[in-house]
Amino acid sequence: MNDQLVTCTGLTKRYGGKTALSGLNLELGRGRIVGLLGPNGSGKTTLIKILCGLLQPTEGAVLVDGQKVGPSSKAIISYLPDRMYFADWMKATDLFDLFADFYADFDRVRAMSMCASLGVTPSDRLKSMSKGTKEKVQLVLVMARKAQLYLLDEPIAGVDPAARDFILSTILTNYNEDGTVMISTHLISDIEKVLDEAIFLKDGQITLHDTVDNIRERENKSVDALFREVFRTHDLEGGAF
Amino acid sequence: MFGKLLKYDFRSMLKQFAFIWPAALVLAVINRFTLNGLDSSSAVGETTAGITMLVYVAILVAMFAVTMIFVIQRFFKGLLGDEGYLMHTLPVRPWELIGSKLLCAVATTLLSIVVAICSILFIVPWDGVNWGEVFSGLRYVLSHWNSHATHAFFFLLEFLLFLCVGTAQSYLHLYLSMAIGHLFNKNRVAMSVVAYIAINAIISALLSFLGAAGFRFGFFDIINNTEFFTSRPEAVIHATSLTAILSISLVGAVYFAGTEYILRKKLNLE
Amino acid sequence: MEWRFTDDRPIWQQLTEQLTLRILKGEYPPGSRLPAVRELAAQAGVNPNTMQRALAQLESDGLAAGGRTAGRTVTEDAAVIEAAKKARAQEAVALCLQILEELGYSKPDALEFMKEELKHE
Repeated sequence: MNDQLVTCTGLTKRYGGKTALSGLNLELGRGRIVGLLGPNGSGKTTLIKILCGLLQPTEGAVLVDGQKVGPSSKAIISYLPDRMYFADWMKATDLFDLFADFYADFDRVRAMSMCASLGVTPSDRLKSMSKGTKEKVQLVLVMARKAQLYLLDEPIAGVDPAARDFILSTILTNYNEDGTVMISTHLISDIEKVLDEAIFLKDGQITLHDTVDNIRERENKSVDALFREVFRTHDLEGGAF
Repeated sequence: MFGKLLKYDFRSMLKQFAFIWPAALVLAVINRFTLNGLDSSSAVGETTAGITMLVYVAILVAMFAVTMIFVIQRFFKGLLGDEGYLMHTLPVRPWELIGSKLLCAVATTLLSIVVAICSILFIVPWDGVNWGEVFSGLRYVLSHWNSHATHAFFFLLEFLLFLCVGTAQSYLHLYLSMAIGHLFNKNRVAMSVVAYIAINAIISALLSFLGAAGFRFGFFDIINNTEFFTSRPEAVIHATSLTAILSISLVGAVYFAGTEYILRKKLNLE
Repeated sequence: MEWRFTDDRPIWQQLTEQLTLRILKGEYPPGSRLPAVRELAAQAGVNPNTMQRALAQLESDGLAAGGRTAGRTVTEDAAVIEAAKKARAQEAVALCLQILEELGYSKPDALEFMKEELKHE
């Protein structure tokens, strides 16, 4: 096991004529919940995709648990994208079989009990499920793994406030405490209580990486308030106008 | 891990074809009976026979269309669409993803061919066959097995190998075209089609260039003039088919390498 | 009793206060076992590390004891609880008196005012 779970050095990503990440340096420790905070287009999804191996950096290096991005890093990362990623004809239990096959850290018993508490019938076909239920299934798949690194890309955007609490509480009660959870979002006030550390991402660079406690003590305001100041956004519920 | 990928690809294939393969076979059997209606020369008999034959042919055509659509969809949606978010974050390498899809595609095609052949066999009127002659003929061949028979046997194998490799290569051509199309941010489908045509053109040009060069440098003259070849006609056929299999494999390997490179280094799902 | 947080101070401090209040009110009786860190954190909707820090503070204040893994128990030491109650009450009164003074009430007037209010309870 390596000291730091994630190390990024000089990470740059250019594509489609724009620079999404620019010389980014990041060190993530273990056993904490980290917020990757930034407005839309700041590079949050790009960073997460690079950590997952879905994008290759233009420059710079990434190490996850001391190794390069590849099958062994993918085995310890549990990723929740901002979209639905499975074939409709399957049942939830088929997906559990798939995850159990490919991921040694998948806990099927936990997945079934999470379904029960979220009100999902696992034997149903995904085709027949509502959008909200499908999202729950995806959340179950991700959180039922005892992963080292959870990467959750905007898990609460586009979700009603009641469901948000539900999702956050599901994350809190199920994640692997030896692992690290990184939640990317622009809706900070909802998740601030849950975070150990906050990372501010602006135009592809990290402008702040500190513990929430330190930020509150130093600035005498919440991270959300500081964020609004720093980014001078008027963030309405749900994001864009 | 590769075996597990195969398992899931085969499972999704069976889901698609679970209806159409049995349907083809059942329709063939039905046709076996309705074709008898042609003999009775009744209007009803003839119409029924006509309709069932139409349906049967339609199913066969549909079967091959579905096979093609299946192969393209599984790659395009499965690896380059939203499902790619799942596939490319599994702890596997890109070549395993491509290989599994390819193997499943080739197997599906071969199975479709087998089903088609079986269905035709069902339709053929076997009552006219003199089984006695067939079996004595077989017995003759087996007891008088000579070098010609051996060669024939190997020709058959070479043909089957050629079929497999040829199918694999055509699918890899499709895969590479889709992968190249993926490199663009807009109009990915259109660019895939362009890539398909472009690759076709390049390979055809290459082959005719090699053919012309072969003539120029007397490659084919070697075959015509070497005693080894002129005295053994079977050797020529073997050499030709093996060369064909080899060159198709080479081309296929190049397609595979190109596709693998794009998926490993240039993936950009959205 | 609801968990309530304000923006300007570290959450762990607020958690410590609210846990203390629950103990003083008797919601967590002396000698009772507190829920596991994870469960408490999920109830309050906060990070388990934050809750852990709050509980550690509770321990050094003497209101709870026991290891991280075993789960903590509320102290049975009545003196400690009494002292904490008194400290809390003193804070409340001091705040009240400060506000009355800012409003312009003299000390004798403030006392009269309090007596009136208590009669009406």
